[in-house]
Amino acid sequence: MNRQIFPVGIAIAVGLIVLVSQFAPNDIGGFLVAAAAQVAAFAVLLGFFNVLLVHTQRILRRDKNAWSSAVILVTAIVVLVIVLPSGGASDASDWIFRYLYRPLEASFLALVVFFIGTAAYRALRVRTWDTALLVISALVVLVGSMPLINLVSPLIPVFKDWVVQVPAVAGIRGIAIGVALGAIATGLRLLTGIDRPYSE
Amino acid sequence: MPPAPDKKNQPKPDSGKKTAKPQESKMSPAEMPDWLARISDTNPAESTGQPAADNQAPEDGAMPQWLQDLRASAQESAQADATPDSSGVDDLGIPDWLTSTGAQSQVGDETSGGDAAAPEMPQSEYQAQEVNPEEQAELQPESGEMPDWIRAMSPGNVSPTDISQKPGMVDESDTEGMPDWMQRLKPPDSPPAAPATASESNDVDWEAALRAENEARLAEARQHNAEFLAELESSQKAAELEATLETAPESELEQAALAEEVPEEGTAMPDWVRELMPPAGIQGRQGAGSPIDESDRKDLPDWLREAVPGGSPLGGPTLPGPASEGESGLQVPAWMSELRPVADGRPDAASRMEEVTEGAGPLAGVRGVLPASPIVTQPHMLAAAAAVPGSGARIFESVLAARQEVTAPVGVAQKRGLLSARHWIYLAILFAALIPVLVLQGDNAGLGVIAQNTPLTDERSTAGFFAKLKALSTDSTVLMAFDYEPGQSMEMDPAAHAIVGYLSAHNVNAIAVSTTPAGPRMAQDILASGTAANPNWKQGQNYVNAGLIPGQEKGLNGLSRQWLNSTQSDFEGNLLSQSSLASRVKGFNDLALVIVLAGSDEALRPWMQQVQPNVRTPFVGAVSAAVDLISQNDVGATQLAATMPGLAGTAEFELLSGQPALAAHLADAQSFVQLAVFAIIVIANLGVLLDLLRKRRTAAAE
Repeated sequence: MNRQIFPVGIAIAVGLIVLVSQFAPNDIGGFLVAAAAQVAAFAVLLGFFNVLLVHTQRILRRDKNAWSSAVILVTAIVVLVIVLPSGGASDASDWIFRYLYRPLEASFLALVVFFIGTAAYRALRVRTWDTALLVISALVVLVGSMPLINLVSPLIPVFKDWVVQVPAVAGIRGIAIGVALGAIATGLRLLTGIDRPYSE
Repeated sequence: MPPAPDKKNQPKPDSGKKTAKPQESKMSPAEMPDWLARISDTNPAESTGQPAADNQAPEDGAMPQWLQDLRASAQESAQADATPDSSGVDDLGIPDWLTSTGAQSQVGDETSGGDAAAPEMPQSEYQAQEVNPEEQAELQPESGEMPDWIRAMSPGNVSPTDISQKPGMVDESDTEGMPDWMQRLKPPDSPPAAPATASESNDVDWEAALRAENEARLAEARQHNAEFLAELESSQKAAELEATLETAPESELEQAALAEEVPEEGTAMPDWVRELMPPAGIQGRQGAGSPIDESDRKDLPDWLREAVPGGSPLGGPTLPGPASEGESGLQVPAWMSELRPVADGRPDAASRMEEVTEGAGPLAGVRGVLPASPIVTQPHMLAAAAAVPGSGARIFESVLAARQEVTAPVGVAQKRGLLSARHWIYLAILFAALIPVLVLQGDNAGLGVIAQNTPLTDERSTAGFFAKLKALSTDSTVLMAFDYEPGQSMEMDPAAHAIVGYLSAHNVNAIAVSTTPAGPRMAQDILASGTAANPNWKQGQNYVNAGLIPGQEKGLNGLSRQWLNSTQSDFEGNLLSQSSLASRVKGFNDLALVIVLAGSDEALRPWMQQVQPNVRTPFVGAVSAAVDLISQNDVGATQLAATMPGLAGTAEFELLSGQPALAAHLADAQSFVQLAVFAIIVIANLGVLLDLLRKRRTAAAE
């Protein structure tokens, strides 16, 4: 118990100072927020070294997928060596980003449309009245979002906008209110020391 | 009238043929037969373990059938050959050997039927026991010739232990005053009592004395038990019981542990002791009596060491095993007998798995709970995890046991041809995306792209977004947030290009920031495209790429309060203080508009929560189609003045701004893919409908 008094006291004090700074801005609150950002930046660095360590161990253990770990290690080291000296503004780093990183990620994301198609085929089937409402709403928003439908009927986009801005927003706000209440409760638990994620 | 004699067992008259063994008639202590020698054994602890039978003296007129038959046969034989020495039967019809036995008076009466191990002599043997009058006279023992062991049985020489452990010495009449548990200590299947003899009347005196002495001994034993139980009752907890047992004198513990003194359940046992006993519904503890370590045995009292396997170093009272239990007739309670050690000292695996299961109380259904009373002698054993009955567990089990409708994978259930339904879906989407590229070219691009100025979306959608940019004055400054990932660039880059193109064309300054690591790189490319379209729109003068804002929510919160640090470098490493644009803008109040290009809700949310509430600058959003739905919540809350959703919104913006239709081609492809997905959904539901109709027809036909 005594070991937790010190971290709990620090956490409560920092939380209260930042909370007060939201209503009465002060330098201490701004310093603490900036310090948190610096710590987060160090966390990225720590994560990078952790990736190196984990995959090095896999290679040394000669795991089944050790070759993929080797690819990751080589890629990380090469990119680091190329980008780090120039700060990310060199031509080499620009080439890597423009012709490797962005196309790969865009292609990976483009595959989602095929999964969406199969998922719609399997899931959006009318079996009950509830699913009927779900399927009809999905079809209305899907059709109303494509410009091509304006050639058929301009009323469909209007109906789509109503679905999006009235019933959908009502549901979203209900969820948002619930999330906000949960965040308030979580904050209070942290400020009162009930939850101590920093010491566990 | 006596029943007809059994021919088979009827004694056959034998004239002059003496098959009896005279040496047995003249019994001396040394020549005593084994069965009689057992009777003489007054120390049951040293006996062979053969149980002692009751000495139930027959009542008057309750002569056994075999004796009546014997009498009848004797009379018949007497009438047949009129030989007095050959009849062996006196006037009363009692055989001579019985008379001689009765002459042995004190002991003979009690020992004739007192030993269960005494051989059941058939009537043929009785018939053979014919002795001469001389020998019969020798069988009359004098008081001085009485053996020592018989004299030891006389009143005053019997120890209380002998009384209590030799139930045969207690007459039936005496048992009326005994408690039930003591009456049950008698052997249930004892052999029939020996016939009463004529000497019974002579034994009244010493029997009365012996009976009185027994009563006194028994009363003393009961008093002793009552004191001991009262002492146990004073301790209300099992732990105190254990301490009491360990500190009690050994003599008391030995007497308390004697089987004869174990009280029957529900009689002399206090209520709290009965509560400690396992309930009737509890399963048997096959695992009880498992061996314990020798070190643990040392900590136990002597009498408890006998309850666990591993020998009896002190020779204390040993609980009888199953075989000896039946022979001795000691009715040890079941819960006590379960404490006895197993044969090899170790329970088998099956018994280890079948431990006690609580039948009531808060631990109902829990297996492996040790009762409080025998816990002092039983080492705890680990049991297999048992399911605790509970409502939650039952619900979970019912869910698991319920038959679930398994949705067959598309490629497996409908794989009838070369291509499955999944493959057809992939092909349909692919061809839908290629149709605009192959068919629609040039001015045909952007089918149906118009400014959707509906009553609901006039001020909130693309038209409102364009109106906000159109309201910007020349040389005003906007803040652009490039918060999307490179994977979303196919959707978001056209929007960014359209916005930057409009800003550069109208000479509106822009400061770019990003909260994602890849954002500054993408922002730099797009801002550079504005310079390529309008060479007068220059870096440092008309636009600045301030780079990454680290810390996500924390960084944006600091940005809203403290703006950019002048010592911070832009994307190309130049200090912001060296930029004329950055030097002019000191905070959000110097900004005319904030444009957030958000590819996800996680990117838009920090701006709405950490920045917008702290500034007065209007916000607009160029969001992906996936974020459009969620962003309507911010639009409705007036945090966002308007949104430009997805490729369709960008195409509309291009149409409104008169720029080249870069997004229109992509919007056409997107429209056809959406149409294909719409067709897939409709076809799937048609299949469901047809299947339902077919089932109904089948049901109607049946």
